[in-house]
Amino acid sequence: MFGEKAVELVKEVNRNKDSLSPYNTDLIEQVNKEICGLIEQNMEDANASIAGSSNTAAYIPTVNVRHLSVQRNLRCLLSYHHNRVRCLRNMRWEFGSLLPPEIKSNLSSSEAAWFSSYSTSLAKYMRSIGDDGGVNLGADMKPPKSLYIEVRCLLDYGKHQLGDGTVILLKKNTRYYLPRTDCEELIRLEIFEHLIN
Amino acid sequence: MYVEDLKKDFYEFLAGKRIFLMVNYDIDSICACKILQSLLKYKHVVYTLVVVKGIEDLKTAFNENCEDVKYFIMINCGGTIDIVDLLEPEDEITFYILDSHRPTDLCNIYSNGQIRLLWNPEDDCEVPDFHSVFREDESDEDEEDDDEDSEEGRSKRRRLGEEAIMARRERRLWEDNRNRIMFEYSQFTFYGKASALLMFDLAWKLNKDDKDLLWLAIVSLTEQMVFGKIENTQYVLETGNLQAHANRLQNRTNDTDVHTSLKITFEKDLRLILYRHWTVESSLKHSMFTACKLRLWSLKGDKKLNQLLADMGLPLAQSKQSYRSMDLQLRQEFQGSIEKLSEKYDLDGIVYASFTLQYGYRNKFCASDIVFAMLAILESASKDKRPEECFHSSLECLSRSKSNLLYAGIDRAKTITVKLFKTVQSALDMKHIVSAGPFVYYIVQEGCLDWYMYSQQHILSLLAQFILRAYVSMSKNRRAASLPLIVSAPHDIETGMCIVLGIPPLCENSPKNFFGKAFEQAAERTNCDTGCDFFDTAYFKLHTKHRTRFFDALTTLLS
Repeated sequence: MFGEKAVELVKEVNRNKDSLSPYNTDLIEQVNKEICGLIEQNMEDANASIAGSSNTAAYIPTVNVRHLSVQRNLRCLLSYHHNRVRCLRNMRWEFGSLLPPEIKSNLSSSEAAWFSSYSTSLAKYMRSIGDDGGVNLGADMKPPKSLYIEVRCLLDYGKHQLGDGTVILLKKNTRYYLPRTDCEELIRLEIFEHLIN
Repeated sequence: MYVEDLKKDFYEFLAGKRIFLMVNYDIDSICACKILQSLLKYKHVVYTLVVVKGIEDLKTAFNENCEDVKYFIMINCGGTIDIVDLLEPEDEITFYILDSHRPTDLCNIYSNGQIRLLWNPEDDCEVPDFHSVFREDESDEDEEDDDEDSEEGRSKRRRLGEEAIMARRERRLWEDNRNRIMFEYSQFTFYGKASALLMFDLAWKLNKDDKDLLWLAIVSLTEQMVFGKIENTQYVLETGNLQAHANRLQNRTNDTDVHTSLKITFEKDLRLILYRHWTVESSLKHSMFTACKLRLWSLKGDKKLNQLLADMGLPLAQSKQSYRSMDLQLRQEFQGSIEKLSEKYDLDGIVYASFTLQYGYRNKFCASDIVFAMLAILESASKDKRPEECFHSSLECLSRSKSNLLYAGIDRAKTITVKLFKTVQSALDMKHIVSAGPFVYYIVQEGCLDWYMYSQQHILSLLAQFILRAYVSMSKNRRAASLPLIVSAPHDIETGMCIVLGIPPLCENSPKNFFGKAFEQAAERTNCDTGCDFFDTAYFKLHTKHRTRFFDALTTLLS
């Protein structure tokens, strides 16, 4: 049946909604071959119908069916590529401009090229907004509600210098109220626990 | 020195600065700290919060942080100690102290700005005059001159003769007077206004108060009453103030929606521990007030309890059920019927004025419920939980989103109450409460299963009050009501330390405690090398092997 392999592609993308499976080059080649085969058959029939002017009407349904199958295959291919690229874009916001190697191995070369050009244009945009040097939009996905947050220290870290130069002593189980920017790094390192009231 | 205008000199002054908060390990300080935290967040004050359990903790925390921070705020600690002498701070470090322990150390009151006290000067009663306690440095120089003269030769001594003798005599008189004044001033230790109430006043003046902060202030006032830290009249006065605030903060339009509103109501309540979350029978049996009045540890007491329940019209089966599952009519009449029978069963005073908090359909707590739940979280956690973690849990349980913590605390509070009752019962049955002449004492043995619970300050104080009242109600000795009680419990079995607490006799009806000075003098006499590490000097720590000598010294001291 025409279009079955293309549906396989769509099913694959549907199965892995948030992650990227390896680029299915084989299946894509098969779909491409099918499309090309169908177009060739259509071309033959079209030429045949122009050459011999008998039963032109008889070719129309077959040509139509093949044409629609071609369009369906194209749509499935587009959907496959579009969903992968969208997933890739979300990963740029999640991981930053350096992708982990497992994901990189799943990309096709054109996808990798797209990713680097997207990263550059995003970086260029981020540099242009904000006062000096730009704003790192990737830092917080949701706008932060307050400048300062309350955190609890989970281990004896010792002396630590904040952004404005003040030095604080981090001891286990003490609570601190510090500017958000200074705490984020330490929250990521699991030294601080963010206390939400 | 006292801070006159809290808003300007404390709050506005600290805006944008870095501070260090040292908080004592009790319920009042937790509530005060929570109110202060919410106020400081408006001004973006960077703070560090540390829990201190005693003077040693205070010193360590200070020494670790004195290079980085310049402003220290102490809540419920440090008021009764000479801070400058103890910590030896640099000149640019300032201390703000909010302490409900009294009497305040005189060096803190007369400090020239390094130590700032955040309460009303009128709260400190009978502060001696500056000149009767502190003297200029001339007298010290005179002394040195005298010594040098006596070394050099007799001739010079004869010359200075009369003047030196007069000066020395005057100085000796002044010193005797000073010692007498200091002794009278620091003789009794007691508690002043709760710190959380002061913080709430500040929040009110800054127009940043709301029902949550008011509830915290209510809880800390109830804590002072439950542990007998303040007298009943003071409690009633303060509840009047808080009731005015509750009326002001009441929002009539919003409060009709039960699901989302937070209601604080002022109503009469019973002195029964946790009765809304327990069964009526258990609550009546294990609450200190009813247990002591009806002597519920004896068989006769049991019969009296059944009689009381029958008189109230409460079927025995219902009274053994959880309060929430009793019949609606019985629940509504419960308080009224106890009030009516209070005269017959000599339960006067079982009704008192308190506040209840209601939010959502299920959650209704009275202030003493919260006090007991927090006490359970703070002081009866298992041995491996560090105090900072317990402090952290109790801070969380005050926020309404973590009500499961609160219910867990209430459950543990029930077990604590039952254990307290059983300890008192066994103490009375086996006559472990011994009279030593001028006082009565009780020792929690090391083999006892719950010794860890009694090594904590507030549970020990609840035990002491319960035992004293039980002893007085059972004793045939007419002098029983005038005897103070000393309770001792093991503090740390590995190091062999025990904790001792003294409470004043019942007849005085006042929480003024003279044991601070008594323990100090007894320790000097017996050469105990441990001092009082606690902020409340009614507690004392010493080696278990010195205990008998210590008690003997106390007996001679107090008779």
